[in-house]
Amino acid sequence: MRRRTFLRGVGTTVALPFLDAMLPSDLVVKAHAAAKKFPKRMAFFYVPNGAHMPSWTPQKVGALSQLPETLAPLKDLRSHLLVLSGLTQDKARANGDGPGDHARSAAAFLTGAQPKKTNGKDIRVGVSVDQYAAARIGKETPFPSIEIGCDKGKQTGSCDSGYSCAYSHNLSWKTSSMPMAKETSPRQLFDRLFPNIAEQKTQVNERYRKSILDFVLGDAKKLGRKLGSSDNRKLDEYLTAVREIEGRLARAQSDKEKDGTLRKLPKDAEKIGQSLPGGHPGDYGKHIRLLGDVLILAFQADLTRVATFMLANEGSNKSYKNIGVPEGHHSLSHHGDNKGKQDKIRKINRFHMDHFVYLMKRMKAATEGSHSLLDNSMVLYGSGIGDGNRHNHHELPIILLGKGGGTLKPGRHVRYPKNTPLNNLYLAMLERMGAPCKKLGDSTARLNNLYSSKY
Amino acid sequence: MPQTANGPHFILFLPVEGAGQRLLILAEGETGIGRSPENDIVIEDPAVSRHHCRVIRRGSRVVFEDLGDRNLTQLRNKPAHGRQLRDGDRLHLGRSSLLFHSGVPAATASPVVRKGVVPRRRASESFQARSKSSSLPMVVVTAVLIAGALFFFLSNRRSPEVPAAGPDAGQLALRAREDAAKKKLELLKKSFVAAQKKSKTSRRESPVAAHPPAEGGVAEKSRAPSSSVPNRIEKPAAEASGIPEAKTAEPVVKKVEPPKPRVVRPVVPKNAQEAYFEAHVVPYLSKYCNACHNEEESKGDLKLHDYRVASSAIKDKDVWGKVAKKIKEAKMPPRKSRQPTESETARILAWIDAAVFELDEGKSRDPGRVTMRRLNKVEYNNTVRDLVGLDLDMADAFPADEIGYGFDNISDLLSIPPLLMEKYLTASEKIVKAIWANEKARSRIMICRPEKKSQNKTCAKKIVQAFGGRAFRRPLNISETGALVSLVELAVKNEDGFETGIQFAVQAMLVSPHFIFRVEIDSQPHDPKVVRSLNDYEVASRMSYFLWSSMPDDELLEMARKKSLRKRSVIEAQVKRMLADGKSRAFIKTFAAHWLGTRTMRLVTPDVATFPEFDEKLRDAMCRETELFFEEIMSKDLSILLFIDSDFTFLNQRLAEHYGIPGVRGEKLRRVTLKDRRRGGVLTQGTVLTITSDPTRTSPVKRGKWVLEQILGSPPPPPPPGNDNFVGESTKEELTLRARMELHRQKPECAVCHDKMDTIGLGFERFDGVGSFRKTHSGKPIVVSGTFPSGQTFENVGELKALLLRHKADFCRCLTEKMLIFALGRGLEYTDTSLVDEISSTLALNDYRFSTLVKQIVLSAQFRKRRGEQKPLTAVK
Repeated sequence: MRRRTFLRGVGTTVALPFLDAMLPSDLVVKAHAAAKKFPKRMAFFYVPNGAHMPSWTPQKVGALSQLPETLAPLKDLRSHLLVLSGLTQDKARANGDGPGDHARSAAAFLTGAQPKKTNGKDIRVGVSVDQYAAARIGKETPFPSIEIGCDKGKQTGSCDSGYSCAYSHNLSWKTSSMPMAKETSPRQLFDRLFPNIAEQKTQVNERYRKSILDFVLGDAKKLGRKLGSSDNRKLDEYLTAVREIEGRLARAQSDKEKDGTLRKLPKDAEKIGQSLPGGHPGDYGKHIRLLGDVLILAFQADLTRVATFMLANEGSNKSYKNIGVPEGHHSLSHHGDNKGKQDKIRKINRFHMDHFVYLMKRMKAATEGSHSLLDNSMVLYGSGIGDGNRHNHHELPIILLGKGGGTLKPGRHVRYPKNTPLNNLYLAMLERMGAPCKKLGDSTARLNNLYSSKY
Repeated sequence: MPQTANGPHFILFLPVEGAGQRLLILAEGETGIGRSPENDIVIEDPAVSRHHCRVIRRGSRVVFEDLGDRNLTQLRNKPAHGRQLRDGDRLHLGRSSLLFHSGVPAATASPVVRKGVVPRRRASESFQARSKSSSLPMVVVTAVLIAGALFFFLSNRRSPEVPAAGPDAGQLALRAREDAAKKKLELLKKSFVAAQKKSKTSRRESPVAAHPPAEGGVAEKSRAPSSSVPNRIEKPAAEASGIPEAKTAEPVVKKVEPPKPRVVRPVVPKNAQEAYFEAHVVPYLSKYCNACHNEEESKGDLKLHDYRVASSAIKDKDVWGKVAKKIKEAKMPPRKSRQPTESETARILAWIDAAVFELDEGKSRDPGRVTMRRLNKVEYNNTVRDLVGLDLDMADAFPADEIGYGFDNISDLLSIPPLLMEKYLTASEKIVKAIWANEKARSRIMICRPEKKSQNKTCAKKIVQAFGGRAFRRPLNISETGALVSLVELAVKNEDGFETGIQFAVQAMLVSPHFIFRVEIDSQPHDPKVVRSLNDYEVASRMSYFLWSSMPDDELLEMARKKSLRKRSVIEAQVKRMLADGKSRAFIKTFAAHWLGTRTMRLVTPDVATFPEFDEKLRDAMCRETELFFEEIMSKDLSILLFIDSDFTFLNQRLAEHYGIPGVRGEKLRRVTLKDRRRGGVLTQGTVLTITSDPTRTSPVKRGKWVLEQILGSPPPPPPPGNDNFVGESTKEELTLRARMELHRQKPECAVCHDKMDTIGLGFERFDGVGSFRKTHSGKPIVVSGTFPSGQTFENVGELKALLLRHKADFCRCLTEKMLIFALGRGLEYTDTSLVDEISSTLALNDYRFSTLVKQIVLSAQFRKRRGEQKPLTAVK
């Protein structure tokens, strides 16, 4: 093969890893290699400041008959719903570190690790469940994982009692010291996933990316030999990122060579793409829905199988005036058992749930063979705080949507023994994703009772 | 010869009969005075605050500052705070007093000094001069002190080691600075011997005897502390009390020993570290710490029970930094528990300083180490703008930079997740596209065009070196140039053309780690002991990213090339130039925006129903007000104290109407002189008042906390577990906010902090949630007067600001710390505290000028040097 041919073949997009160069322009995406079997997906939705638990937890365990107020919008999705009560995130507790529940709750939520109390130096928590999965099954898709959220992040000041804002702003941790920054703009997310719809690349850029990456990798390697250990950690992040992109290019090439099975992009992709605003959607509910819409497209096109979605950063003091709650969410969550404030918290809980349900219904409507996208998914929704007033971390509000490709038995409310680690649920999910794990964070065993008739 | 004896000095009068006096010659710089053992002058009088006050000496100028809000010092019938001391000034601290003497000019003093009697004489004179007003019977003690140190002779028959009879006198302790003391010791010995010879011969005609007796009589005796006193004397003995002047006019000096310098820090012998540790540190820990900080309890996540060997203990720098901080702030051991003696405290602190942090006489030689910093979003945008001459704002699409220590340029938090790397690649393509779409930008890069094929290489090299030298903020090395040129050659070979090849090369440089990171390469990166000065290019980058959040301009790069950025004068001139340059507005958009909250201001969402007057125009005017205010202080080099209160601000019609200030027309903001103290300073600007409010109401707690954090630099500790919540009853809606807050302060564990925090916050309660002025709320009048735990009161916000201004010293430290964090891109360490002290006292001596702060930071070792880093013991996963 002549050098030039090689460059043409491999050096395609970097920003848009593989799609544009090797795919015809009629918006097709290669399906999962074994086209018949649809892959499983997992997603984690996070809401801040806990929930009003009396309106969350069903009265009885067992089959879901009556849903409490906050879960009521899930009525039509009952057959896809598991309400999991009694789960605990111990590492969100102080455990000697004093105040800072909000920062810890987000940081520990998917890691089950105690975040180191620091404002910046030696930031450390643990690898999160989504990144554990991404590291193992991520190579099957162009994007090992996707991280999205509605809040850009606090613009100034500190976040919570001596904890860096990185803890409150991120769920997903690739390594114990590197949070995965989240995309907040639906437009940017879409352009990243579907670059060929977004814009035409100039020829020159398509051709030499591989060479450019080789150049910077060479630069970085030489540099690495001269650096101290903290500096090297930063450079490692850089190298890892470049290699990940390189790998994506190579995968795209080999996919193209060996397999011709192409699947049409979800038909509404283009429509959705066109409807996205350039900047941030002003309306919060719309923002949630648009990000979710693009995420669902990514699942449908099998661009990724793992995702995290922070509906708001932990400790968010957002005002919800559209629904008649002009006060700040965080301030309200410290309701001191004041009924008026609790009512408003319930409204906020319900607001988030309504939008989540919109997205789950869309997943249910997306067919995959004789099933739906939701059937093939496990979507966790919850918070790292139970009661926002008391800041407790046992009895967390946790629900799981979807059937995990037939590995879950939903339609039930299951109560687990007190202090059952939330991370036990993650072990169970990882196993179903084909990324089994013996121990993640503070897990003690795989959570049982997800596929059984016992309550 | 000790000409140094001529400097400004104090004579300290102790409240006890016969306790005597001390002559204290002031060192250049700051001298702390108070009850706490870490002061330079320790006065163990319960009426004196722990950190009561300080004096700052620069040459012959000495300025006094109160440090607390209790026990305010008076001078010439006015508060002494911030005033320059004059000859004969008397400061009363508790029951003791300090008499100030500016010192005699060197010319007149020198002959007498040589005789060795002048210091005594001067002490007596000055004592005499003021003693008319003193009601205490005093005994003159001759003390000889050499500038920079505090040497003294006790007028006592007993050895100073012997505990004093009187409890008051026994509680007195003085401290001196070791550094200057050491230097002067030899000189002093000589002069003292000379003095003794002279004094022995002249006793009978003693100059003292010639002085008219002061009230109660004057006695003069000389006695050096016994040489066995280890570096400091804790318990100066009392003078025999009430000795009538007649009797003591004839001093009886039986034996005079050479004076011993009194030093603050016990010496930790380098060759006996383990022994010292065992003798002084381990016992301290087991007596005062381990009961709580042990394996089982580990309160505050601190375990101190297991330190047995110094060599391994010193590795836990973080632990000892925390320990030293708590001990110094007198927070540990807890007040209710058994308290260590001063010498115990001094010894453990000395060990921490010397053994753990290797401080040199309390000063650090450790410039710290900044982790390799990637450009943050603002820096990326500005750098691209200055590099290619186009405003492209590519970084707006990058994920948000994480914030730590209040800023978004903290090296350890600036990571590169794959998402960002992708965006770098996309941005590099777009930047190249934009350059080649703009003839001017393109021709700036294409400075050479090959006419034939053979010129390709030379031409490519020329282009790549010119662009790369700016993109990497330093000249390219041979291999970098080579690799980039071969990229160009590849394009030529593939028949894509020379210029296309240049495009790849430019693109490659824009994603190179040398562009994305600010790289500073050490020859020995793993040895924390190796400190090096940054090279000129590195200094240029540090300066430009500090003040401009961008790359160095051509002038700075040229200075670096000529290696002149290591000259102090050049650096100072460059700082001046850079602050005057329009690019320094970036400093307002970065440093000031974080510190004063204009960034948050762009995002807050006041409730429209509660505050119908709030709209985008008002929001914008508020942000601009704060920005212009900061810019005014920065560009006109005004006093940073104006941030607390000023008689001007910036308004347009809209904002002026919102504030209730008449006579401002039009949309443009301009400087407006304020007629009263209701507004003025940042605390009463819309920005600060709005960002510290909830969407529907004010939050006095947030406002108080903001002042403590951003102005006074003493953030309240987080609430104790279980209390991070308003208690239920405090939320009864029918009560006024003030009444509800008083309820929640009934819990003693809450009151500790909230007394101060809420008092400050409630002082701003006449400004509503978006900063407009009101006198009532829900029909009830708003009371804003407050009383601090110290007893200080204020009636309105103007008085509150005046009270805050008393804490100049705290404010200077606070702002210095923040700006230093921003300048360095890292949190501060224990070893940085002496720098913060130094800079804040320099500020006090330079009229608190803004540029002083910036210059001192840029000139510091922390800014211009770096060291290696200990390799972690275990590999980081």
